[in-house]
Amino acid sequence: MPSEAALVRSRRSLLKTGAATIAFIGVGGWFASYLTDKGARPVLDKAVHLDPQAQVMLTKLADAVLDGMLPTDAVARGRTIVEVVSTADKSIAALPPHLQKEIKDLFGMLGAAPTRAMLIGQWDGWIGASREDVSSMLAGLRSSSISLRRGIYVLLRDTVASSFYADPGTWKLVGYPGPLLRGPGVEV
Amino acid sequence: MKSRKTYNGAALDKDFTLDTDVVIVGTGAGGGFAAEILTNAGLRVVMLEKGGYHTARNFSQNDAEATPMLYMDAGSQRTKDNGIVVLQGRTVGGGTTINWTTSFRTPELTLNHWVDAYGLKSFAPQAMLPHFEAVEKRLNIHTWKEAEPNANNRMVAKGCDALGYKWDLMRRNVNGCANSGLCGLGCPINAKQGMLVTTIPSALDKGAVIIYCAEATRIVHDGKRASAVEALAMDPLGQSPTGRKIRINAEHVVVAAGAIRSPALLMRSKVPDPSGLTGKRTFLHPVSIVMAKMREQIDPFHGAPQSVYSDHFWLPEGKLFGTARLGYKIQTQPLLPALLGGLLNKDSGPAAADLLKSLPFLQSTLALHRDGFDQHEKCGTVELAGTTGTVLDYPINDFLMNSLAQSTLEMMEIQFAAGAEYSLPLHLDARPLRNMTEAKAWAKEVKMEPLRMLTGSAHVMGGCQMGTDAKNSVVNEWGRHHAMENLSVIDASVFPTSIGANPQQSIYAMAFKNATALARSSTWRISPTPATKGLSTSQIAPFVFADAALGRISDAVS
Repeated sequence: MPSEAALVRSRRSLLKTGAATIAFIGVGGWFASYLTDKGARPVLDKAVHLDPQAQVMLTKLADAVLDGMLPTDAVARGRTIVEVVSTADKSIAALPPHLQKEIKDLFGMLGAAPTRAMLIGQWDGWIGASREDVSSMLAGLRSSSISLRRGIYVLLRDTVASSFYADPGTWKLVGYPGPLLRGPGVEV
Repeated sequence: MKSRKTYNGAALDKDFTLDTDVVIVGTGAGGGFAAEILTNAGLRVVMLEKGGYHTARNFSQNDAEATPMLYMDAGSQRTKDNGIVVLQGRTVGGGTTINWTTSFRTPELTLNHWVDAYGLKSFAPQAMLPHFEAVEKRLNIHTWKEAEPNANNRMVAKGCDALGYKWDLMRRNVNGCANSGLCGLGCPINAKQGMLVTTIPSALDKGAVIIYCAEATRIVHDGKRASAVEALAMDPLGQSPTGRKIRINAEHVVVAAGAIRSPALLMRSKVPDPSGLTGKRTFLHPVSIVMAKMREQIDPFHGAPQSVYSDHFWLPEGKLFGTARLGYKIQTQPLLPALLGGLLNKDSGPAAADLLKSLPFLQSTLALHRDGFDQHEKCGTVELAGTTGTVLDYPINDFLMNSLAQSTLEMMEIQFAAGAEYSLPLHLDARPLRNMTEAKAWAKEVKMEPLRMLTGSAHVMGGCQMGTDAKNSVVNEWGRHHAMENLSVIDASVFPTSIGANPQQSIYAMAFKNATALARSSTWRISPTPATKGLSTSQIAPFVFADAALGRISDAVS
């Protein structure tokens, strides 16, 4: 597994600009599709954008990012996480094509060991990752000196968190009573 | 009942062509306002809008549903290096459908600077006064005293009072506001006097046409005159082209697609650019945000989002430019679960859960930075990507980063003065800070760098700036393109600096002035005559539609 310092040295010029980052992710997405981890089973019965790899990854991320908010009962927790992954799949459909491609390419790279190691310093696959493993990986990304890694942290964190809070069922957990007005209104 | 011609690009099953006097690309504060003025002058107007025609009938009060419906790129638009989230409206009415109704006249210092530095004489404060008054009357812009500011805003006033900072009440473009607070998701009771409920229905009732879910891709021209605008029909969310093409042949083209896509349309169309400034000098009013946990209940989700502001830090060193940092306006930011949990909070696990569970006690203050007044500021550059894509490059330099870091500390001081238990800056290495000693120590300890110090924008300006001649600007002070006889730009992209205040009223007043001048100009091969009320359907439908079955023509009750 390349250390972060090694990555800084070897990739400094490539990661220097956002343009290079985007190009890098684009090429990497193609590359990663040939090298994905085997054995990931889909979490969703039907998914439009997320392949089984990405579904498993988001399951693990949701379990860590939303810890403290998710039900403690294992069955209920699992059910909520599947909902979060399903919402994430639908929210990708609401993005314009260039952002859909960018996010799917990134997820593809995070599903394959070599690109995953390069991007987030994690060689091992998502299937066996514990909540602690994922939390510690996320903390590493968040404090990284490489802006690409911090950007990946923000994207992964925001994807699962916004998918969770998209559900009005979560509002009571955070003390939001909901809108004061109910629609539908009138067209002028 | 009046018949309205509204075409849904998403429903087109054939390519589609229309002839008109004026085609307006975009229906926000610039395009939407110009549409009414040009229609009233007797001109045939066709509006093109990339987004859908969403109204109070289908506005969702859930931000997770409303955001993909109403915002550009489903609210995910970012600058090239991902350093700045850039929110823009993408729906009929543009930003005026989803803004928080905050209304300011363009500050006099800004207008005087435009006169002095850019020669824009018609923007002198005295000359602009009647235009500000006219748009205030049209959109019911007034100091909002119908209700007390909500606690989120009261805390800013309280903190400012404690520190001896002057603050004031906002002016808002509302009529019968119910103070529910979800302005950003589209007003469910049509109290917000945006283009969606004012100028656009008025123009449609007088015969203007709107084609929504249609993204303009090219201005057809010969280097001197424009002859048409070509557009792609889009899916119902305005995201992906359906394959159908639209062409609007017009005597005059008004570009009003916002300060990212207006310059991009000129660039993609290879409109002559003698100054080389098309797509250059884009301003964002970059925002820093600090949340605070208060000791009393705030409910930052209910009540008018912005009702109090302070200009205490607007003019650092008493100067408009040549200062060590950017000036800024202090305002507030409403908080909803998906916005707080999905965007503003950057924690994971139990720390994130703790913050979210404090939502009813959270206050949120923002600093709106006045960018683009200094010559050394490069600000943003619009770049084309692929056949329709557009990217804004806006590097966060040390000057801006320093400004964001300082305003973050100053906002915390206001929150502590208002009694905050702790403040939480929008920074990846943020932690709850309980007083200014802790806050200053934290600011020295953490790195202030892009994608660590987080920033956003809800105001995009510049990129087609006004000026005196073709060597120093893209358009003249009336919005007319220097190199093209019949091309105008009427939106925030014409501003030569940022405004230094929420820009909607500046756009309305500029649009009022420049669209009125356009209507009266001798550009028309036909002579415009004022429209009269009560025209019959046949009289207000001067077009021969290529095929009446194309698209959806809806009849709406006005």
